[in-house]
Amino acid sequence: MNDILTACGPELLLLGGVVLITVLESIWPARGLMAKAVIGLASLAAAFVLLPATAAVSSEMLAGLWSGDRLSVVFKSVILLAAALSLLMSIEEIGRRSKAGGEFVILVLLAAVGMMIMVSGIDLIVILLGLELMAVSFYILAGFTWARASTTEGALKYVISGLFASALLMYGISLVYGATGATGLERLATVARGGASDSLVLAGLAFIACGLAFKMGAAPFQMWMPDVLEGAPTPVAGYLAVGPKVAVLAVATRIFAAGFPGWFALWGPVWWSLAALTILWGNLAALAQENLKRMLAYSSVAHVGYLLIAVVSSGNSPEASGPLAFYLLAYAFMNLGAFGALLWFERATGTELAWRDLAGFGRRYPLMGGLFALFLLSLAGIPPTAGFPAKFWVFLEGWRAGYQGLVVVALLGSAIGAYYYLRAVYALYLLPDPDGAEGAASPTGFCLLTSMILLAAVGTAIAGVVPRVFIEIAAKAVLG
Amino acid sequence: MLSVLVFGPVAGALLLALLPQSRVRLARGLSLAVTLAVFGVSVGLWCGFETHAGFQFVERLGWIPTIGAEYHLGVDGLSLLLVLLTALLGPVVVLFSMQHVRIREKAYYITLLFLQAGLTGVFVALDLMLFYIFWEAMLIPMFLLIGIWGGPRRIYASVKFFLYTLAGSLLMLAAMIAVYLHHGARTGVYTFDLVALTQLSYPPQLQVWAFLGFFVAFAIKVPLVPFHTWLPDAHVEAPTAGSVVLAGVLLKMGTYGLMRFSLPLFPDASRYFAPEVLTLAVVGIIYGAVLALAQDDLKKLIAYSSISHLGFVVAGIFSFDPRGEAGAVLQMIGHGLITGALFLCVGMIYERTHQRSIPLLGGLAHRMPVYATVLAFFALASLGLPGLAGFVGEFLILIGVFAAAPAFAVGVAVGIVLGAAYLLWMLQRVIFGTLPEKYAGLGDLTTLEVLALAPLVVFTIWVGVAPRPFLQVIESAIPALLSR
Repeated sequence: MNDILTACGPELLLLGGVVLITVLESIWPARGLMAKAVIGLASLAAAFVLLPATAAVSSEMLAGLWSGDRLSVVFKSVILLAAALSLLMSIEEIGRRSKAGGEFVILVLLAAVGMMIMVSGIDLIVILLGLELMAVSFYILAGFTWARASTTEGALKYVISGLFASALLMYGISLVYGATGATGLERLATVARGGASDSLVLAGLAFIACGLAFKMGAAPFQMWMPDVLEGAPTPVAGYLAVGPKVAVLAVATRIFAAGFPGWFALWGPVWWSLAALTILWGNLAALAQENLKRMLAYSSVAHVGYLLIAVVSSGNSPEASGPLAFYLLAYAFMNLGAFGALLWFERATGTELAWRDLAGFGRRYPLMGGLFALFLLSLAGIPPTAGFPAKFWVFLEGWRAGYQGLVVVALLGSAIGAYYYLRAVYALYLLPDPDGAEGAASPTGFCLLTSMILLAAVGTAIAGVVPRVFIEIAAKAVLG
Repeated sequence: MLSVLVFGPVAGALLLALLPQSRVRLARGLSLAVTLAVFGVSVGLWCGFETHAGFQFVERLGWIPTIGAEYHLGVDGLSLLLVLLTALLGPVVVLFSMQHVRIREKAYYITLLFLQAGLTGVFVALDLMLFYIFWEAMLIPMFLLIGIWGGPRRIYASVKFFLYTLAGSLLMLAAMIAVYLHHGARTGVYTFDLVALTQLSYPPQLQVWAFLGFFVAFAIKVPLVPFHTWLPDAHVEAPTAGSVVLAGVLLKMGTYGLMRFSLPLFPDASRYFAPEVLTLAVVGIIYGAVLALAQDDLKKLIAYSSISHLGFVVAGIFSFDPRGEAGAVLQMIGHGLITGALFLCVGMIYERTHQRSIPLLGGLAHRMPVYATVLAFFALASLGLPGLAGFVGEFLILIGVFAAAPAFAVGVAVGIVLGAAYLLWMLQRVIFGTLPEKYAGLGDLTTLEVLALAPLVVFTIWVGVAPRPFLQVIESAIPALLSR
């Protein structure tokens, strides 16, 4: 019993936070948003503190359903970080827009719990449960309160495509179960080692792969992503672009790299080609975008491609997923930072922004312009920002694992990517300000948002200049 | 000490960023002080340098132990003078800018200081990954310098510059990874340390591909024909200080990279490709010179002359002759001094007349005798007048190339003749003849401008008359370069 408490401590704590906020919500509906947000943040922080201890519990203790291995500790930290940054980013915005703030906090926490369950689950059913919890929370978040046509449209698209992906996944799981009589990954691994390459299992795995590709937004299953991110409220879009990727990629690593080691030769090429396609598609499509949110959406598709390189090159050992974890951490900082800065600009101007609209912002808002440029350069992978060591490490391991061709595709993609990120930087600094407004007033009352952006910037800078800080913290937390 | 050279300007830039927008004079003074201090440190470095092989003033710290990247700095005979040149051009461009730059000054000096830090870092990094970071990071300040303070087509030029160099760099990145992994697989030690990586000899197949990867990145920077098209745009649109740094130091990153990385890491591939590279170099020498002959724009003329002169350097490097190699390094220094000064001269006349078109100028010697003398001095130095900095390097390169491949030496010599033609013709049209009437009121050089040019004059004569101390430094590094 104690073991279960330790192993699931962080998730239980978050659920405790959810319950507390729900109670508060019924006592003071539509009031005390800040208090509810503080509870949310505090439970995220407390869950983070409890995380390292979960690594001590072995999976046998938990009936082969739950694993607290090193992989999950690191990935869950990124999830908690993303949730905390998203919450910081959105509180003021939510408070301004609607009275229903409490639900928002609850949904952010529930989505985080769902993602953490996915990361730790080593049974297909557990993974599916986590995925549904995450997905349902995000369906609501994506359409949260904004009375805007594109929000509703995006949320609806998300629900439909999300349900489709879940259906694929469930169908795949049922086929695998039908063929092997098992849903636990450990048990399936022994079946796989036995050499039984039942066509039913193969078909099931193919369905699972498609479902996961859908959920992470890998090409050619990425079509929902830009519409959903464009329609969703900006803070949700940031969370949506980072959180699910972490969880789904963790699951992909677990199932396809660890679950069926003997079959990796078979699955390698599938993920390999998905990665190449995703990189090219994401980058090329981002080139054509005017709207910044859509550009960031396609850029996040491209980043899924880079992350998939890390998945395929971690090959048979989840222990080799250092580059994947570091990339996800860097990505959480820079992408949430970019969405945060975008939200800040939207508040300052009161409109949706295309990249051209950034003209002159570098001078009008020197601090925020500089930070946005930092995040964009980091997304482009220009040193000395977080994006560079992250990409470098992933490419390095990809090359080492024998995926030279894929790395070359990724380099090509990065070169294309540099163009559209740079285009925004160029608008920030090089295009003349159409209004000629010199040092216009910054929007007031957004200190939480600003501090969240600064936090993300500090993370981006540290991960870029001295990446070992994060690597060592992770190593220390996991190994004791 | 090397860290001071790299991070001194960064600290200065951060300090500048804290200044209020209104304290412009303080900003100027502070950037001058920082660049002078950095120059002082680099002179100290020169004095403390001992002429023996191997790296000196080494600084080494763990940086990303997981993949074996280190913070590893050091200088040897190849890089010392380039570091010195970078540090010298720092105060020179600040002095010039104090006189002429009036738009967004604080941001301007911050950008300049970051640029200097990145360039110095490129020359002192001994870890491949660290080198790559400086190499890329320096793109951003240069991009901003051209894009914000440049001429009418600055945006096109800055984006072209950025994307061109970035594309080349990515190929280099792939080659770096290949070398790193091969070294790790063979020795069991995964490291980006250049010294360790050069201990191993790589199989021919890998050498060829990796050489090409590095070569494209460096050839774009140099630039060698046909990778040169970004250069005239960047030069013409860049502000004067940008042009000075671009021609003076930035182009040398390419030739330095060839000597520091390509030759030691891939000696066989370098020799294998030598004829092709020599051909490109000679084509560049002649093509650049012919295009320079055809230019009416002063800046474009000097930009194309840079392509020609850098062709000399590449020819010297790929002669695999000790004299050629030494000449190549000395030519880098000479070209940095002379072309930097020529761009300053163009900037000075442009600030006065807003005119760079040669046919519309003329007779400047009547109104600006000091200016005319300085311009003539540097034009003569550039065409290789004995006794000035341009001569020694060119001569050594010619000897080296002749010893190695006489046929190519003919092409190199033709380039020297063409150089004399376009430079003398330019002089004739700009400083002699009749002064257009509207320029009757032109003033001669100001004290600040003279101060900016003076150190370049001194070094140009020094290198030309007594190259010994410089050559001693350079030659200490040559045997190690050619022994592989």
